[in-house]
Amino acid sequence: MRDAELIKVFNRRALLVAGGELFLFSILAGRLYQLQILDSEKYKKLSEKNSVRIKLLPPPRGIIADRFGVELAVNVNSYGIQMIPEEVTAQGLTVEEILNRISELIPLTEKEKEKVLKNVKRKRAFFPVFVKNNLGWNEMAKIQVNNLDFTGVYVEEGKRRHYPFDEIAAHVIGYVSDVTEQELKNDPSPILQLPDFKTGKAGIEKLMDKELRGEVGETIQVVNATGRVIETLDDKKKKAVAGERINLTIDKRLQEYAYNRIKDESASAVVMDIYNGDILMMISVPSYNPNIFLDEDVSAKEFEKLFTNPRHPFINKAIEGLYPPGSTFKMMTALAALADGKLNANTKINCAGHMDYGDGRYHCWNTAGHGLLNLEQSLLHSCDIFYYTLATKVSMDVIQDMAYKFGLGDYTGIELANEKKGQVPGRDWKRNYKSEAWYTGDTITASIGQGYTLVTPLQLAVMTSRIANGGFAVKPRIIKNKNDSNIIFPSLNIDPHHLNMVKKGMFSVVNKPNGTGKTAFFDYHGNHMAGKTGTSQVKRITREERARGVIRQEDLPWKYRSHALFVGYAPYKNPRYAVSVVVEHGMSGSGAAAPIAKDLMMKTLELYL
Amino acid sequence: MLDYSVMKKSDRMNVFSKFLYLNWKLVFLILCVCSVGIMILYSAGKAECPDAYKCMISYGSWSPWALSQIPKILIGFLILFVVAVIDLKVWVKYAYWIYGVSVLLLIGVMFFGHVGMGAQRWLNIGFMKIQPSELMKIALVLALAKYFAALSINEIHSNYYLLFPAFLVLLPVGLVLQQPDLGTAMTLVMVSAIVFFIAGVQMWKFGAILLVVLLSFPIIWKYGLHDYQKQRIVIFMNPEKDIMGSGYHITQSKITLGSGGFWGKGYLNGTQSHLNFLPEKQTDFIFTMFAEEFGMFGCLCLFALIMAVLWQCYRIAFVSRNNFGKLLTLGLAANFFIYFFINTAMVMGLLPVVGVPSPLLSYGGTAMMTLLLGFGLIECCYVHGDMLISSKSDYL
Repeated sequence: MRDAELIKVFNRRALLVAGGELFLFSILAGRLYQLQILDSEKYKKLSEKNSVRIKLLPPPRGIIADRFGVELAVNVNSYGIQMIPEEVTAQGLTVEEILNRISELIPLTEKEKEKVLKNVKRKRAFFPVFVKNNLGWNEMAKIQVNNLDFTGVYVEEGKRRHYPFDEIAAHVIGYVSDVTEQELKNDPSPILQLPDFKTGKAGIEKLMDKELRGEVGETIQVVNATGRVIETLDDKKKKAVAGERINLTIDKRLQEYAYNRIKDESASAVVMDIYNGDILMMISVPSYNPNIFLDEDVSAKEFEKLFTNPRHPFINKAIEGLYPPGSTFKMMTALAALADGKLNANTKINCAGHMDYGDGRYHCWNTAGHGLLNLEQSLLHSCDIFYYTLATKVSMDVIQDMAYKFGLGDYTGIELANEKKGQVPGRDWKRNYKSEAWYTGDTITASIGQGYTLVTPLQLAVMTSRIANGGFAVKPRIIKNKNDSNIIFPSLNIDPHHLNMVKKGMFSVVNKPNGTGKTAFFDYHGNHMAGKTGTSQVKRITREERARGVIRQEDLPWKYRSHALFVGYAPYKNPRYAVSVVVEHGMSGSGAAAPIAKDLMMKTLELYL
Repeated sequence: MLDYSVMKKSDRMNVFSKFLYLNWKLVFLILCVCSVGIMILYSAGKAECPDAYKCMISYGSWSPWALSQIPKILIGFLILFVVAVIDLKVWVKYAYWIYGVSVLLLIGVMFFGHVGMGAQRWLNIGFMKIQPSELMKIALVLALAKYFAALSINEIHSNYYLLFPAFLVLLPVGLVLQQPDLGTAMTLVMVSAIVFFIAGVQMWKFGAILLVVLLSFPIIWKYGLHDYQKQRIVIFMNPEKDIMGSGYHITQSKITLGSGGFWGKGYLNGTQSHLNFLPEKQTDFIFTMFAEEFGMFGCLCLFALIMAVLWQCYRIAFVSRNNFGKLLTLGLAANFFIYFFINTAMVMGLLPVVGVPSPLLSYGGTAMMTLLLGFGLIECCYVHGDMLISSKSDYL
């Protein structure tokens, strides 16, 4: 310590080292400032994403059941592989690479891969995307075992829509399928972002889609950096709210019966409660199995076959099929004439098989003629001349008004998508659509439900119900609402005598041995049906054809054959139910439609009386 | 004949009075740092708990780290006190012996060591496992202090007298690199450099050495480093390149630090560390955990505490009347500082992850005990600060 210079050096150097240490401390402090103040927000976000992940819980879709609670659309368990694109790309892998890795364990077709890539592009990066659905146990286990290698890939137990009764009520229930681009664009609701979310595409599934969806729940999962779930915070869970349960007015038993009865036809039928409007059965055939939209094994070929089928399996003919009502319209003409005072109980009109009016000659379906007929007999024989004659006396306005009152040519308001309006032509209609004046000749054609008049089978059922219930504007409904059991429909202000005359005619049609509708006759414990047949031409019979003699319908190609219609209600004495049947190109109402109506009504009475 | 006027105070003190004469401020400050360590270890612990969610909000447990760290600290302080009251001349006398034993232990590790974390660092001596490289840090400073304290300024300035201390440094550095333990090797080199510097070795010589090292770096890179060490350096340069792999540690550490903000998430409320995003949170990354819960404010307070410790060391060095004490105190203080700096800079992403724990904070026995042994030596220098060790013979 005697070396003074050494002490000087020591002191100086010690201070330098202290200064250096101070400098390094300031570097650390600066770095802290950078990390904890400047970039803090960024790291806070990263840290939150790091630790907890909000997992969306898809709500179970609402159950659709029949009027007695038999479930027609349910949810079943299914396993699927999901991927969160963000987590995959975070580890430097592309979605393609991870798909290739997955396909080493579970075969993925190119198409499936493409679908995944498409979904990855259009959805937000932190939303899971389905890779493959409906996996078996073995496949699922393979993925689970290799979980470590597949960051961002998860096996999900989910629910899948299932329709246990396949085709029988396909058109009423509809089906669900993947969310379309259009829906994503128009509907901002985040539920659509869920992986494998399906929306209703037809029927109740489409119309009531919002109600059936329910509310998304969420659960908070604690995950580590590899994305593996460490724990699920169950008490922070927001449960998914299941979609509304929808009870239909449909009776599954009747529906099933009807499907089996007519499945080989191209036809539709409706059975309706005439007082409260409950649609007990609504069938359209050929039908389709709504499960095919959820089954990934169904080939494109099968779909194409369905889509190109000339009998249009995807169309609900009961509300989307438009047919000339044919003779089933005669009740409207009769009621219009009665209301207009041009027809009464004593009116008799002679049928000579044809009638000349203006430049035209109008034929009865029975070219031999029916002779002198009153209203009841005109319905019984379904004589055309009787109504042609009425048409020359009654304005089309009156007939049109009557048809509207009974629900033809307008939406019935049924809770189903894609209902068609149909049309009951009149002066305004022809001026607007044809730019022509309305001639009495048009009224003549319209009086027997030919020409421009187009109605749906449901409208026919509504018309029949309103006749049967004594002239009340009953509206059809297919969703059973607990609160509307005592709903009262307004009166149509139809003279009950007029209605009774028509009803009597309709009774004769079915129950008289020479009635055109006798093929619908039954006696169910003394209960009988009243009804009316209809055979509506698809193709106008030309003068030349008539000159050559009437061509037998059987000789025509299927698509030119006449449609067969039948409307009816029962029991005649104490009416409860109305039925309408349309068999496309069934050739004759009495031959094709009436027997079906008979069976359906018998079954209905069997179930409810 | 005894001349009491020239006889120094420390000569007259017995063991008990030496104990009372300790620099208690320094002891208190060290105890504060150790307490912070216990506090974080408590937070890092997670007891077995049936209800997962409750555990999440009430993290913190005496097991598995906090409780078992306490006896290690107590043993450490015992070592500190024992070392402090031993006559400084004893330490001077046995400095080279201690150095020699440390070198032998390092060699022993090469043959009988336990492999941990990809390196052979541990030596099982029956009742406990020790890390000779930790002891080496103290022993090297002791040996260098003893060597330089005996030199005159002229001798220090001559290259010939630098050969022996250079050998003292390079021998353990070489052995540590064999393990391989880059972090400790770096620390040894840096601490030695500071002792050389304070002792008075000319500045230009440091510049020259630095230049040589920089120029030979490509060769060291190619032949001298293990693959995992190279990888660590590459990742340090660009951690985002490999987020889920080895760069994971740095990235997660930065997220944890940054998410703490200025005030921190609150004690026991750190999410990153509790959810195991943070690796080795009880050892190398304990500072990160502290920073998450206490924020920048807490970090600056901790810095202040460390600086206070260093400040006490400087005071001891300046008032010491013997060169050995000055050099030893500042060398050991530098060791403590470098330890702290490398660890902190590492978890902040300023230095590669080299596996250096945080001094006095991290869980572990050897590091804690050797550090307190070092502080014991510093206290010893304080107690014997008035001792004159003048003649060269005193250093032999």
